[in-house]
Amino acid sequence: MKFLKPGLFISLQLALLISSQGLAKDQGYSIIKKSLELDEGFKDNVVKAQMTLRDKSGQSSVRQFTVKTLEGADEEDKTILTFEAPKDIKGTALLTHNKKNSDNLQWLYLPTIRRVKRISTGNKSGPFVGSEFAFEDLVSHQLEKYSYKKVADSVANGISCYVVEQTPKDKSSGYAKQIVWIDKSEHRLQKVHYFDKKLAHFKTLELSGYKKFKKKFWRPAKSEMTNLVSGKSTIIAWTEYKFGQNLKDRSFTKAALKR
Amino acid sequence: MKTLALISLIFAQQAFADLEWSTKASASSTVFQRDPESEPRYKANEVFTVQPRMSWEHDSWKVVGEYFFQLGRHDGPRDDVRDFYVLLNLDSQYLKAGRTIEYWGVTESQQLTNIINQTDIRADIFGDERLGQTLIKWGLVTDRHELSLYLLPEFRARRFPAKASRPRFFSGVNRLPINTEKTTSLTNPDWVARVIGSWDAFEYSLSLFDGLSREPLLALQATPPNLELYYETLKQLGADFQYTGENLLLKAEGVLRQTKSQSYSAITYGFEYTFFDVLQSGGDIGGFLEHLVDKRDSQKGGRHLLYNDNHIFYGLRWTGNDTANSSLLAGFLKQTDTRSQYGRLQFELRGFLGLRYSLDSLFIVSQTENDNFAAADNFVKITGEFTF
Repeated sequence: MKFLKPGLFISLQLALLISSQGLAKDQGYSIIKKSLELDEGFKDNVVKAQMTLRDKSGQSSVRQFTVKTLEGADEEDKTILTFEAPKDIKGTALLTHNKKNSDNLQWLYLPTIRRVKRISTGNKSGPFVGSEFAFEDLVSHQLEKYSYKKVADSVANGISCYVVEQTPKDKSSGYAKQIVWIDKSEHRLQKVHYFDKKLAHFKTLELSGYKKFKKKFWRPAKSEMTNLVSGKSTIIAWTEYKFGQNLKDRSFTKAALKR
Repeated sequence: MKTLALISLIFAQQAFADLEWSTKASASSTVFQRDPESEPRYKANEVFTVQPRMSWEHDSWKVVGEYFFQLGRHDGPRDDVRDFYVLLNLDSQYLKAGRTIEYWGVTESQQLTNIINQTDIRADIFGDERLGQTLIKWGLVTDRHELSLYLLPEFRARRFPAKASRPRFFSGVNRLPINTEKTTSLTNPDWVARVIGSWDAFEYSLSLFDGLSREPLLALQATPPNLELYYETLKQLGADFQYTGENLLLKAEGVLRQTKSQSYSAITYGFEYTFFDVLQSGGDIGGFLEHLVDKRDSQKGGRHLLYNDNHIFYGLRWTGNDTANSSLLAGFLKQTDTRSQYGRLQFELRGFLGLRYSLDSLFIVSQTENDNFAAADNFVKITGEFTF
């Protein structure tokens, strides 16, 4: 599962992070780059997810989906996310082609009308199926689409971390910046703070329950996104990670979605 | 022997483990504004629909079946096997055989290139429902393109509303005899070749069809002199194109058609512009505009029942991106010469008891005597749908 892996999400509480230490400008870049490099070579994987959406009053609803990821050269991974529940959206599938130097491509297959719809590249900041995750949170991280600055060392989930400020170069991003905690020992993403266009910290993502697969690739068991403004939260529980599924490029096409 | 039985049992268990079932059931009520002046005389109709679906997937094989059954309180039952096919996925090729539905096209108002399946106007007056089509399809897939060849050994006639159905477009048409210019069979099938491709923000397709037209003509048969629904043979070259930008969507699709009675072209083109995450609500609002042009002679070969010759389709779409999956579409179809205009409002969301609720409404803005929907009537249809 490459989305929600270390290095994909970035943000943070600025006040805590402005460091008085004179840090090299590009150290943040190197930290994220290493995080991405450590995950190279996984080829493909499949994971099941249960997404629980909670509102302020504690009411919740659940979605279940499977994500298939095919690793591509130059960070150009492809993913298909297919819903299994609720039943009325079962079979709905989101195909993403991550692009290194241009906008990612996304298509949505709607089984009730048996049609594939291309999703506009402007639709980055909108919520994904009503959750606290935006569409842009659900794509693989591409190093060159952000600028980086290491801002501090800190602790997250009881682990010593680098703290890196990451600014999207894409003006249509819903975020002014993101700040991430990357642990020093394994370069895994531990926490992200998201800042809106007015530079207000409004969302926090926390990842936990990391396990190592194939003796190399770390994956979280849980991702929790909390919206500090609305009080809503979304928890994704990841289970049944499988690697080496022999997934083919041709299964990640618009036409294959219909089949 | 015991080992063989055990292996068979394990295989059977595995096979059944891959079998999935779901059923969609809905109930709707359609209420008409006008008092009926002639038969049928009801002001509201209730319709119940059940659609069981099964799918089985194992290794390279997939089997899918879907049955459609609908019962109207005033206008009786109708059913159809929408899907029942076997799909074999190989490395860069696939083979599909059986009944299924395929949608082509990119424009919102109508899909000119969409030729595989027949329209089921009885199940849905707006023509959104299609009948299953028996086919054999072979596909060759590359990273950017897909070539597919279809053999269509079965012809399906258009399904029209029954005499007792409202709205009363095409009233009585369903009882006319049907005649075709050729017989479609396994040895004399209709056929299609299609290429689809994409390049960055552009997507396109090109298709060639040779077979019986999906649109019947209202024709006068010679002996005995009587009206009939006549399906001509048709050669159709179709193309569609879509550009997806940051907020802008450009769409176009067109056809060149050749029949015994005439050759003509038709095109639909337009755009949609969307504002995303409006006021940080998470919702998107888009406006769209399409021009529908059809150059056919409406009386050549017979009377052409329903097409858009010089229409504008415009409207607004709102998508909530919320937990209820709510959406709203308000569209208007305007004939630019006669100025007749019809509106359609669709709203849906997931709500109480996990059901999906929808409202679908047709309303007349202005009407002329000879337009396609002269027998139209304002109505509101409310549906509750449950999938289990």
